[in-house]
Amino acid sequence: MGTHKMKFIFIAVGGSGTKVADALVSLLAIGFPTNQGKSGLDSEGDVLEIWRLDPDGSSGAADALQQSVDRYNSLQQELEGKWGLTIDPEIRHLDPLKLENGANNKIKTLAGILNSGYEGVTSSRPFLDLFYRPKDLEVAIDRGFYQKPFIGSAVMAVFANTLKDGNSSGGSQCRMTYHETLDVRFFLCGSLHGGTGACGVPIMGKHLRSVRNNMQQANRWQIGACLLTPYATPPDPPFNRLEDEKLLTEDLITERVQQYANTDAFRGLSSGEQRELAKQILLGFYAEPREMITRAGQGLLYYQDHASDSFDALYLVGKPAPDELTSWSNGGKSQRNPGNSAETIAALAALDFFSAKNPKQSGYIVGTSTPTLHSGQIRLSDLPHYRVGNLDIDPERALLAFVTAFHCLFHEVTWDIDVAQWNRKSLPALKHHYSRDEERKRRDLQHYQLAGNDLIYFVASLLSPDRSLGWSADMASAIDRFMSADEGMYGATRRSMGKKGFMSNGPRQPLWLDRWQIEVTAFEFGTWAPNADDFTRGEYLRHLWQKVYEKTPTTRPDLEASIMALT
Amino acid sequence: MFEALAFVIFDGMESLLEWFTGDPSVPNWESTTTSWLIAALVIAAASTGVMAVAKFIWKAQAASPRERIWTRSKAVLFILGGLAPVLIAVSTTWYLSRDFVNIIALIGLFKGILLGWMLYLFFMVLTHAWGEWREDLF
Repeated sequence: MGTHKMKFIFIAVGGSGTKVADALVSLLAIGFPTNQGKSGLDSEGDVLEIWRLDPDGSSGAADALQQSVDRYNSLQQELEGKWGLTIDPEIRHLDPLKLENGANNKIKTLAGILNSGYEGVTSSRPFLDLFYRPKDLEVAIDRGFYQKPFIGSAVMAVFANTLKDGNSSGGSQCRMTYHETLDVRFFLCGSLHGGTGACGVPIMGKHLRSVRNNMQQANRWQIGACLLTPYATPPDPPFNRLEDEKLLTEDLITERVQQYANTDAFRGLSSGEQRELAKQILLGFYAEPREMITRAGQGLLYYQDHASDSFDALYLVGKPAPDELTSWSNGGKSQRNPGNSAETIAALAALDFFSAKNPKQSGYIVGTSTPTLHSGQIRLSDLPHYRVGNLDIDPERALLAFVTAFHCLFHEVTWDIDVAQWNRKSLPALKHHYSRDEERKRRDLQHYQLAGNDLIYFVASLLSPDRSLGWSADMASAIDRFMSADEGMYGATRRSMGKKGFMSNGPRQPLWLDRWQIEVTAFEFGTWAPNADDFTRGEYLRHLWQKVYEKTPTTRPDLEASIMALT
Repeated sequence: MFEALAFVIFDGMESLLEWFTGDPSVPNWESTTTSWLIAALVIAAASTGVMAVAKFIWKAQAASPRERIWTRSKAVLFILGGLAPVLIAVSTTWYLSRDFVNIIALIGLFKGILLGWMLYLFFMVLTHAWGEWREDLF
């Protein structure tokens, strides 16, 4: 019986949330299921919409996410759909600095927002001066809140209020009235230690809860969140902040700009932007690595006391020893940090919330913990399981199913040989499908190859050492054995899938990525095809995925001994 | 009418037998030539059987669908490879029989080899006329 098709809304709050959204798109692109279709685990029919709540409209992470979504949709096109769920190509940017409703907030500072005349408030300056220092009120916040939620929360609170108005900038993006008629699962994700995430997640969660409380069918919405504790620390900025007693002068800013204009952080910025960045650093408006843990702790206390009841499920993901980033940036286009295994784990939390039959849980759900876990070198077997309906999904098995299906499609199907010559006993399904239609086969191969490039991109964005931190190095090489275009690499998998001999139909070797191994032969794969007269490329790939996933895995014998020793 | 037809066929058969015979002046040459033709037929059939079994085992041992697919050139080369054992078997049979050496003679040997090859090729094509082997050749 198929599960009910759903609409999922992922609300990426700040840079970390945006990067988790990117990881989520990658997981969906490589076939992670979200429902149980008629033919098995699937994600077709579900719809994902991504909202991005971030004052930084030009962040590198946002550009990367848009590229991923575009690539995902191109992948779906190449596969004629029926491979994954539908992702809305438009990422809805909720800019908390866009207020309207009589507001004049062209000045993107805290004072600019709070004195914008929003809803007829003439000036709040007398109150603001009680709570904020002048530098907090005047710093430009169009690149985020610089790990200072006390600035962001005021802005977010005003913004959340604008969402009630369907004609406001944020309200028109959210379309709350429309969504009230649908079964929707909202999932918010942001960091606990940052600025935007720390203040945006609880305020947006509270707003959604208040809308839900006023709905006639309140049970149509489920609201979940994932909070990221520090998992990657940036290096120190190019120069130190001013000591408290020293005054910031224009000359000092000019001196710093001249001195550091050629560093990565300043290169490519306009003269005005360089001066603004120098000013931010000198005033201490940047993510301070040494304060991250303390801020995350404060954030957790806040959730415990004020915000946790906004959510039906609250996930917590982080690392005891954060990975170290090599380049420093204070937001904007230049902020393009590599991915991280923690983001993948947070994306799995989103999948769990979206796909579980009943996602409601009390207390924090901690991402992962296994006896062999090393947070800087996460293995696929360390990844937390998630639920689809009532089924438990092991990400390692899902990935093994994907890479095996990929290998079979590209390295076991004899695309280079005319269909007329394909052996009817070895590749009966595809031979029948193409039934001497060489042109169709050629066309399908072209589309598969384009889709294959996209799939490689998504896997690399999750696991490749040059694009993602925090993974055990041998995970990427394990994937290469299936997905590489180099026969020297995938040849081992091809040999493993070979039939053992004349009298045995079993494979020569099992296939594995990490802990689990499965047995599948190239001949067995050849008999797999969707149970339909005609099928799309996506359906075929999904069917291969399902058949491999259905294989009962066993623990690799060489690992079993070491696991037993540890437990 | 029937008798006339039977005579034509008999006469044709005798001419055919004579074509395979080196020395038709020897008495009872028809019996030796008939044996010679039967030998060629049996050798061709046996060679086809051996080659078919070899191919069956070869294909059954294939580790993957890719290995199981035989290109047309591979299949043709394999079939042509069976001509050698036919040649050897026919020549050996000819050499081991004094009647064949004396009556069939060298010219009859060559014609017998040719016949063996033709029969073998016919049988091999026949074995590739249906089933999965058809894809190898046609």
